[in-house]
Amino acid sequence: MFDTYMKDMNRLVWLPVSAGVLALPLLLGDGYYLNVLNFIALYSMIAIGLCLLIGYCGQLSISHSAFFAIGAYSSAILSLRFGFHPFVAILISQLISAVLALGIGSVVLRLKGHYLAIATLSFTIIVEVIIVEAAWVTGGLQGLSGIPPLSLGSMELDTDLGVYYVVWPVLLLLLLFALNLIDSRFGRVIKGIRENEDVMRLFGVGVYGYKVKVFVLSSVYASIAGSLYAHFIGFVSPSAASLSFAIDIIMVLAFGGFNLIWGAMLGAAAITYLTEYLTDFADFKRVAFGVALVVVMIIFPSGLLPGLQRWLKAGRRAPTGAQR
Amino acid sequence: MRKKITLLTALVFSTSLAGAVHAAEAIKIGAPILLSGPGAFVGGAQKKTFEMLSEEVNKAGGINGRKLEFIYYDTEAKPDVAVRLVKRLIKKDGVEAILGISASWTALPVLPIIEKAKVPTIALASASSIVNPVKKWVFKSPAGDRIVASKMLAHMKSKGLKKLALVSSQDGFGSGGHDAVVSLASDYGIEVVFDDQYKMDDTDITPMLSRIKKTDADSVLNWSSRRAPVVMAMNYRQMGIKLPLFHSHASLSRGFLKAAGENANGIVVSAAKFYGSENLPQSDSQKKVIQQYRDSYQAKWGEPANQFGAAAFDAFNVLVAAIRKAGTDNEKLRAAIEDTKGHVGIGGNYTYSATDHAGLTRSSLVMYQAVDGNWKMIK
Repeated sequence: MFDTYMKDMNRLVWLPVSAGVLALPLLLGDGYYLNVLNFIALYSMIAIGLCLLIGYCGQLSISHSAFFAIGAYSSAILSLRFGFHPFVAILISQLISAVLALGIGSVVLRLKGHYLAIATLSFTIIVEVIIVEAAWVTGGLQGLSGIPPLSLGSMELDTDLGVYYVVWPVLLLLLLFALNLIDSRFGRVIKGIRENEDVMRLFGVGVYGYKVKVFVLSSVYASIAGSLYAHFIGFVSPSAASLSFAIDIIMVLAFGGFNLIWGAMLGAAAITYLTEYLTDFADFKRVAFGVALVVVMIIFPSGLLPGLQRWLKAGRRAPTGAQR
Repeated sequence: MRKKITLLTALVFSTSLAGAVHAAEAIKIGAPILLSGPGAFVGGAQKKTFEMLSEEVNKAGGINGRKLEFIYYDTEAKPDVAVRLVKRLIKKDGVEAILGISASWTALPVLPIIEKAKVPTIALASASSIVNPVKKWVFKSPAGDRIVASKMLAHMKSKGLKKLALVSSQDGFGSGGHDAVVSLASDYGIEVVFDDQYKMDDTDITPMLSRIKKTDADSVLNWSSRRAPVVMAMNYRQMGIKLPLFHSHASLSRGFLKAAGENANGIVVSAAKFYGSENLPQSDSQKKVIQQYRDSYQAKWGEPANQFGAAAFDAFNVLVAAIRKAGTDNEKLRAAIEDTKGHVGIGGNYTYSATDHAGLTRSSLVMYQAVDGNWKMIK
């Protein structure tokens, strides 16, 4: 019921949001907030990709930090060691990630539930070990530094503002793609797989093929974020492929709500903003972060966005200000 | 409804932006240092040193009437966190100088940002690659791996050692030392007969050490930091290797001796004068500085100082002297730091120049040997 209501709203909201996002720096000028927004955009990309896989298709995967790292390292190595233009390197990297995701996905997606989670988790650990051990190409634990920034012609987009106008348009396109996808036949099928795989199979749907497709797509989302991150920060280290990062991203979804693309974005924004804001608390940062998470989970068990929606709806139903 | 949510998000963001503009008289100094995890004692000592020293300066009325205000951030030993925090210090907090980045491997990716933002910086990490090639805006206070390595190689040569087995950790610190030793060894007539690396987090390196036994090495040098030297020292004794064992200056701490116990006995390191400074001759100009720092630190915090805090002490004093002389205009301040000549610090006599942003020479270093839980200076 809710989904049908969302259908038209999604695209209706996308336009003003995009316009607002693109106009923001014109209104507020350059500043540190752009750096924060750039991180929000990158985390949103991974979160949206993961949302498609976990939230819409119901397949729990812990391999997104691995694909983030694959995107980041491929892009870094291609531009640093082979002299590719950053944008070309980013495109080739997505191809590499897609092929790898197809290979891994077609094996692990025969598994379900916890087994799938464990298999993808193992993949993440393997990728991290390979990055650390293949030091001759990846720089090992030291990572790779001096990755060239994104550039257009002779203009280097190495400021936060320049990067902003790359990552946000990319994110908005990925967002629109995801929003349209979930409203399409494809979207309805994967939602069906989430609800009841056997019924979908009974309808004659090639369930396995769909799962692999969503997995590849979702991995490429993470990989695009990784590639952009590499050129934005100019440095990658094996921590990009770490398990804790993979769990951070799942936390972003838990925070924002698993079942909504917009929730993934809100989760990414909330977590990034929280990390940033809590920096002022120095030693108490981790404690405060944990408390904030617990509080959100208690008040909005289904995530921030679905929780807020319910809250706003409840407010509308009682316009006379009825007290509970 | 949807609009309400967007509005809400926008509201949340705008509150963060409002706090950014804040004019203050204080001189803001950014300190991105390592405050958590296994290396927390490094940044902890640096933070305590800054707190102690800035309190003294502020009590005396600040510098030209302006008080010092330190902003501490925890880099979590992660390069990407360090990048984010340094950007924040520069863009949001508007610091006028940076004293920090405790660990070499988190310092390197930050350098291009500092260079672009033109903020005078004195790094507290030791890798020579931080200032070599020279970065216009970045200086450093701890003795670099090149001079530590050359002091050690000179010592080995004087002991008649010729064939060196070199082990180092696979990180910024280990590789920096490794490269310095390999490139300098031949100048001292020493041949590197064994050269392998391990990871900072390895808990057992006996397989690598057993291969050293098969070589004709007459000495072993380990270059690693944090927990790795402890593992190395223990495995070394377990394997029953009798060759003289040398360590990098990262091992020069009481924490290392405590953790390694009697396995540490006999280990030789080359480092700046610090422990055992009470035994230095009165004629040594550094003696007074070191003793004063160690005493006041002990009095203030009730715990002994370490050489990481000492690096912060030197960086602080060089910076404050430069601010007194030139104010906080970034070009002038940078020039004043570069102009520092013969500043007597704990690490040695600092003399920076346009071609040398490390400031120290081999002569400011001494050799130490671990003897029953203490570091003793040796010839």
